[in-house]
Amino acid sequence: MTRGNRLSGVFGLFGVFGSFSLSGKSGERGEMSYKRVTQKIIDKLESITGRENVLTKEEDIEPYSHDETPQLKFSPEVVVKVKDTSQVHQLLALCNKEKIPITPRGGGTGVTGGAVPVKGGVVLSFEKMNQIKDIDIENQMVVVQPGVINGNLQRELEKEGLFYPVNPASMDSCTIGGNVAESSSGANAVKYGGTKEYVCGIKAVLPSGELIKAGGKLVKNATDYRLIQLITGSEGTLAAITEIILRTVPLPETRVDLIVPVNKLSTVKNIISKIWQEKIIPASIEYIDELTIKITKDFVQQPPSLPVAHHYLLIGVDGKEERVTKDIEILGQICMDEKVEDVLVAEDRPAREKLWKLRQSIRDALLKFSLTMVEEDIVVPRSKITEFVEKINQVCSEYSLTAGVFGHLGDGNVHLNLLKTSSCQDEWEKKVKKALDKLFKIAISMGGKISGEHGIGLVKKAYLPLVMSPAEIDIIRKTKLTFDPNNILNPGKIFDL
Amino acid sequence: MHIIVCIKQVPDTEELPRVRVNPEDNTIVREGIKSIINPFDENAIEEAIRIKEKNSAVVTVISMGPPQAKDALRKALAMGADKAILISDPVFAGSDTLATSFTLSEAIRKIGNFDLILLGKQAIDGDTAQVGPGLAEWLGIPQVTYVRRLEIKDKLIKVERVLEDCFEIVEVKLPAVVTVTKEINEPRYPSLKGLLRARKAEIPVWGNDYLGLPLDKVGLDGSPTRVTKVFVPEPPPKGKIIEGDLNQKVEKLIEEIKKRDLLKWLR
Repeated sequence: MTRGNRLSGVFGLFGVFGSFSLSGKSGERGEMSYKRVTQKIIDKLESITGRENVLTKEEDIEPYSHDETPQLKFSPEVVVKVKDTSQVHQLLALCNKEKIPITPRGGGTGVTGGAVPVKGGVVLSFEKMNQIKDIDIENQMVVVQPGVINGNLQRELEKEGLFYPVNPASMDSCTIGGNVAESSSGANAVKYGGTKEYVCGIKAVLPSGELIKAGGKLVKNATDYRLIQLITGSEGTLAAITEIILRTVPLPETRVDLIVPVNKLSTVKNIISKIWQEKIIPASIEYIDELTIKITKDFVQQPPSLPVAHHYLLIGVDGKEERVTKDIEILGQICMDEKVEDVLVAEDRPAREKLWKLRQSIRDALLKFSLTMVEEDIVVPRSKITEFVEKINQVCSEYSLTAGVFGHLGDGNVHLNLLKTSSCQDEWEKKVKKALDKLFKIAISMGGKISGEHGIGLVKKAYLPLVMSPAEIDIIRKTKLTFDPNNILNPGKIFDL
Repeated sequence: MHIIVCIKQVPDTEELPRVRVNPEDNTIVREGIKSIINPFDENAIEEAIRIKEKNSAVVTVISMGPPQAKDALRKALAMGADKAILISDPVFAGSDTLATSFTLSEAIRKIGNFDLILLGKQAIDGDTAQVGPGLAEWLGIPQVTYVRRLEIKDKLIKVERVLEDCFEIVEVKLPAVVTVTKEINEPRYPSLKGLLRARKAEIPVWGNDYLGLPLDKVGLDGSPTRVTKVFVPEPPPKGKIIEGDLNQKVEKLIEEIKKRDLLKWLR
């Protein structure tokens, strides 16, 4: 088996080995000193977790060689499924001593290669650490193991009248551990924020094998260097998270989703700025363009009935019944004032589910439409977002590129998915690169960043110097080395050492 | 053209784990359970509105049920129905499909002129699929059930019925009762304008004071059906998980298939 057996396509050109190399130090450092996983190591791994939790056969480890990033694949040498913190501790201590790369993995639903074992070695799978340990109603906190599926947690909490509002589109397969590692977010972030707003405590194992416990069931805590915040979003490069304490909020009494079909982007802009003026905070303000709706409606079974329009806004409001009723009246008035023909209302559960199923199927639908897809996750200050979407359309038409554009407009975060419609791969890749260079520069000039919620992982690494200065990269590099001096934990991600 | 749509408010399927059965009379305890319009009835409403949009019809929606069934009627108004009437009276409580279809038929007689009556093929709570046919019998008009396509041809309708192994194309003289399947259309989302209008709409409630039906033909007394027992079914037996490495798994799987003769249908 080849270590880091790479079967990649399009990202080879301008993702992983992109045009921006990090200054000075070579990305090869560390890699040279990694050891291979020998039978002796496998025996040791088996003695830690039991034989049934160590996978080495090609067909068994294949699912762990990729996440959901199109055409990106690196095989691990071995996959280990852990059951508790003590096993994680033994595993990391062993890998650290033997200089074997180890890549933590949640649901494998990331789209930037964060869980892909680029340097081979061990994949540390948390799929068996999937217990909700404690739902503390009095403190409105929940203690979970990292492998708990986001959607399962939501359903369990709902039974207790609690709400965990972070709902990535992959909520029925992504894990809380993965959400924390990637600092994921979802469609409710306008009102509720993303994962980082909810993590109150973390138990994690450092590459040395030492255990750290940061925070607790605490709403407030000003006693350290914000270790929780440092680990949240570190993409599994600093520590292996083994337990998470999340804050929850009371389950909203009701929720209504409005569908606003619009023909001009300027109308979208006006509607959003008026929403803020009216002091309404919707849970979600989502945007989907015409092409994306069309492709996704063709993809899902029994798609909801939607009128034809160039742009769609999906505005969700939740809370007490009277408040929600009032909010939708105001939102309706805002839309009418903007000459929107009509606003559609999804009130009861089946109606809302049908709509959100469509929203959550977008990525799969686009991938089915074009298996070669480059997806970006740009974030700009939210006042600039419609202007930026306008720029996307301009740049795409300039390079005759087809794009599915959707995203969390209320957060200034847009998902740009470039779809390959021409037959010539080389030419398409060149155009994509040029268009993205241009769009990244535009986003940065607006004060934006290259990732709002997907992380940098492997495929956005080359672009990091566009948004971080050498001094900033240097400080995160030093941080990484403080946590992980041998660079064994998820090496090759975010930046090169 | 006047179309009457009969709808039922049912518990949201998501709420089913919370639905309790009253052990005394074997009826469902609906208090505190979120309700929706029976999904197939939404298709019936949508179809009526589509006919209205094409052929300038008037759509009246009626529902027999407790006072909260007004919510379902309001949603139908928001989708585009013109009028709504609630048939509600404590003496109607406990009606089986015979009493329900009788009561509805009498209410429809009171409404008067109609050309087409639409219903969903069945309600997702009782699953009897009897009220539509019963209604047609009481009114003495033709019925076509399980319709997945409907075309208006002056005083006739041409419909396509879904049967177990084929589709049946039927022409029916109006007035007639038609029950529809999910395939017939995708119900629209109500518009906000429609919803705000529906919120203010007056929905008349017809009780037995108004309908004047004989008490032995409505409610529990008018219902020959007796539910003797309602129970939660045993969950189906768990599947067997075959353990081992890939080769062992495949071998054991083949063994199981042979042992149970699972491929006999291929022969």
